[in-house]
Amino acid sequence: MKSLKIIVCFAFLISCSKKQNNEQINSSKPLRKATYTLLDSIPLFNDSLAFSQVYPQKILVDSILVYQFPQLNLSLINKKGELLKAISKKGGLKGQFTGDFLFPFWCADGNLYVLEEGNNCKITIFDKNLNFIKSISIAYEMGDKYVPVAESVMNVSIMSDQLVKVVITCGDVTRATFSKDYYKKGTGFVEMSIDRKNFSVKDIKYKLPYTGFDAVNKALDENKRYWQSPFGHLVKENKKIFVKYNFDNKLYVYDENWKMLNNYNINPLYNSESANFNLAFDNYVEEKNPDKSILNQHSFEFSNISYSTFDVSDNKIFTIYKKPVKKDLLPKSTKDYVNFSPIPILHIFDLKTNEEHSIDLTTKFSPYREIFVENAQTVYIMGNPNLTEDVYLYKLRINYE
Amino acid sequence: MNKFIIISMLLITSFKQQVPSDFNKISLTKNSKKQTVFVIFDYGCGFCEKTLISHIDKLPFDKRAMILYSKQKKIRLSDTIYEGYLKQENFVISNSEEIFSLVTKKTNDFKGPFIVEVENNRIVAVKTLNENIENK
Repeated sequence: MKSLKIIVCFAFLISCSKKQNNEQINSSKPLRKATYTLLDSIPLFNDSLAFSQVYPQKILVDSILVYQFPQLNLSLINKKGELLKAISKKGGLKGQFTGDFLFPFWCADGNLYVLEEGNNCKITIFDKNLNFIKSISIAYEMGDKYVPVAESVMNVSIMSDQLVKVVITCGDVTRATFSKDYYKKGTGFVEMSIDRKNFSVKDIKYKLPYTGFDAVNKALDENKRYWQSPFGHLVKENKKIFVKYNFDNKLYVYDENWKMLNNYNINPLYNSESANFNLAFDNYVEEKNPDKSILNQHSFEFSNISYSTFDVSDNKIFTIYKKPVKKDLLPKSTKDYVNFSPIPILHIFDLKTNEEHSIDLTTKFSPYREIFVENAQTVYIMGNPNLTEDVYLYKLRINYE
Repeated sequence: MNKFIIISMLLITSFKQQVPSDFNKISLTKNSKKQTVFVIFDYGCGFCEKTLISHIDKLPFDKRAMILYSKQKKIRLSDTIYEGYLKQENFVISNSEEIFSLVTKKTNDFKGPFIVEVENNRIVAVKTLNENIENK
């Protein structure tokens, strides 16, 4: 009897330690529908300007970062759409941007870090008063790696009085993103330690090799690729790093040293409509027939589950994916694509209870732009810039059942 | 014979394509008989922008005119890379399909930037500044 008790205790301890180190939580609770109430419509435009990119990290203090693409005229506006400050823009002068796309991020010390994406990738830093401090050319530091345009995210966190840690999505110029080699040798993120006084890069490390993910290894073994983009999305919250890729429905959680803590299975309400469209690795979507090529790209993006963005707050994950469409409804040409507005689905996963909620949004909302979560009940989602130049940032209240 | 040549030239001139209406929003085009107008797409690359600036720099400030082809309507010159290179009154935003068709079809180039020579409200020549495309 005593030995049985010991065995039971031992088994319990092992199960606890497994949960702590590398827990895979499957939601057994039914997925519930939720609804939303529109609380506010914040104009991202005025008489002379209409912004198409928004970063509402400081919306609670009535400061919203916005810019127009491709002018990259990074500006601060208030909730009335009034211009508070023009920070910088695309150009060759000191403090101006030379990248193709921007991802701005407020560091907790008040400085604004702006990631300039593309081949000429840089991090440009502005002080609390939005005066230019320094540009760091990370293209040189990263060598063969680069920051993918419009698919990258950045997080900046203070590590000590001397250092900030910057994590950025990264790609590799030496291998094609559809090749087996890319996944066998590549990593998803780059982490840089930057000196807070002179803003020089002290250390650079590449994190999360793709071979560390079961979904990638399985796809490599079967030679079936179900996704188009290898680039991941990342959010840092309460010293935990949350990562979401498009190669599976999982959300991965790491500690600050990139040790995996958990992974959660997200169960989207809608499944892939085209029986999970896939292509063999090394088979580029651009075939000899351009129409077929376009259809392949659209199948990856609109037939399979394709997550655009996520945010974490109050132990809940809020992610947006595009509602999969049937093959015969896919945009068949570039012209169709321009006029095609997929339906964004807001999926909410509770990290404590494993409860999941799903909300069908409408095409009034952008299925591509960043979601910003204030708390478990309040989220901000941008309007759809495909429908109008004058776009609003919508504040929604989530009504859980 | 001379009369025939003159009449032919006049006829050819009169058949020259009229400028798309957005050209007339440029102050210089309205007020001068002959004018060079630069056309660039807003989705053009940094190389396109630098190419255009290097050409526009060769003209006197008061003679510079450009059309920025964009789906956006609310763009300020001061927010673009072209600030300081020309006067606001000679900078026009347009998403006219007529302009897009004019520059791309006449040059067989979808990249640009382009130079459009205008005279008396007529198109005289359209050229691409894209080094990879040979002008006709």
